[in-house]
Amino acid sequence: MGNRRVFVQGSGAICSLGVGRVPFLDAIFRGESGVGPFQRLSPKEGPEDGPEEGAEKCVAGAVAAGWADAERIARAVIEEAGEADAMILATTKADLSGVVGEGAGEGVPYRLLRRLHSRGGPSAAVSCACASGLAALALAGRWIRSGHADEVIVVGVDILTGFVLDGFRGLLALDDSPCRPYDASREGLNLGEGAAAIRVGTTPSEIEVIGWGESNDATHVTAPARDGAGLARAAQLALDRAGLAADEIDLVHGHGTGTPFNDAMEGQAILRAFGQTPPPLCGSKGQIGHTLGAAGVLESMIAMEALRRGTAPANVRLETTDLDAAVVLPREPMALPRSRTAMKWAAGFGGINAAVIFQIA
Amino acid sequence: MRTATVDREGIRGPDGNLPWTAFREDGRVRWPFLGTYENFRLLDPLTRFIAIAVEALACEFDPNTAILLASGTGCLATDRLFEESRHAVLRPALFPYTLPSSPMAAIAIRHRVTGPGLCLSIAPDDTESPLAEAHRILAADEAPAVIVCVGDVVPGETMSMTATLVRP
Repeated sequence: MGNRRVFVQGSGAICSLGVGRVPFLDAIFRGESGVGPFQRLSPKEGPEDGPEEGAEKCVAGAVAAGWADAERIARAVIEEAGEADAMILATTKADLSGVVGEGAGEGVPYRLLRRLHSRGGPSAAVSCACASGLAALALAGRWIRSGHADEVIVVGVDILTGFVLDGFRGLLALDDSPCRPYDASREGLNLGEGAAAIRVGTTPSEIEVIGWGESNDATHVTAPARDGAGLARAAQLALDRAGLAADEIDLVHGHGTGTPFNDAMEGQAILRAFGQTPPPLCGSKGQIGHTLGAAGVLESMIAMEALRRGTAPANVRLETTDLDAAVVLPREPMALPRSRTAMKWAAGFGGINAAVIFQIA
Repeated sequence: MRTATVDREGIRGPDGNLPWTAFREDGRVRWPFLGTYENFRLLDPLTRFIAIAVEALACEFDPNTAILLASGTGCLATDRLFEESRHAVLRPALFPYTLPSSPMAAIAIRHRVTGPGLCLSIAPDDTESPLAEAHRILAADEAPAVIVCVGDVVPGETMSMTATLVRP
């Protein structure tokens, strides 16, 4: 295994908070929220399977901003981040084009990857549920360290479809009000849509990807392990790979779905991984919804921006938490005493856990 | 490398050629056969085939073993069933199995393996890239072994799953 270093070369984003990296990140750190009733600018825009206008009270739509489909928003973020010879796509169901519609009958993620990846370098389509984005970043890191690729663009994308909305609704996982991650009154998540891209390579830059870790709970197909042990193990593996002690992490950007079990699990995990004086834990799904395959990439951009600004973003709508009192949950943007290293973590259906560590180089 | 394949013909693995219901009959593992596809009972066709293929490897796994699932069609069979149910009576229990990480979880739970998990959507007939990825995971020292499952399971169309245990 090679030991080449992995640096962030560029990024791009589209979600309910804006089109482009700067508007998105500025809105995040201003505490804005893109969650609200679903609206379309035109009835002709958006996927055929998408929600009816007004039918969804609380989602974070990007299609509503006039972006019509998964391929289009993915291409836009690739253009913003800058192309690379190698591409890794992270998505759950993308636009469902492999399931319904003309020519259906092959895997959805690969079908979209084939349309997006025009260069001849290595490519892969990752579908690890809500951990897809971080699994893809870990894969990209492995490719670069091993010499399998010199530069990789990781693209996360998912859009709102009736298929996915019905799926989460059927599992009673949706909140019809704006979601409240880490709050004691949380009742579920708001789905979001969007795309994000992070281009990584060997050219030294401002931010380095210094470690990653992945694990499986091996306890339940959908529910997270209640004790947080699986996520904490992914965090520890990332720390080990980065050669860091737990107290060298300045911020954890969490998964923070707003579902009762996930957020409680994270409260356990952060204490397991970091002890009784953990770094601040913040989440952004109250602002951009749960963007599924895009979440890990979009939210990694937030973690990196927190390091640049020296500020942890607020956990919007958090009033009273039921997590352990030792867990630090900023209710307002919080100046970080030290802002060199951040961990982004995520968990998904299938018991998958992933953690990635970013450091100011 | 140990390899086992399950398809319409049966099971071909380290224990030789067996009918695909052999493990139910010898009592080795019954859970993939509980219930039917129609009444679902927690298991979709992809999970059933993966479960049998991994069982047919007939070995113990290190707890930190990784699982890599690669498929061209992925969860298409369950995607279609769930989509149909949306226009009739919604079947929420199907939804998790529209994501390939759920079949992977079934294997992780069954064999108590907590290593990294990776689900890839691949080109039809691509058997090489998942194995190459497994070797990169090993070379990176991210797991002591990788269970690689490659195949497509869409009843009435294609049903084949190969499990390979890749070790250094």
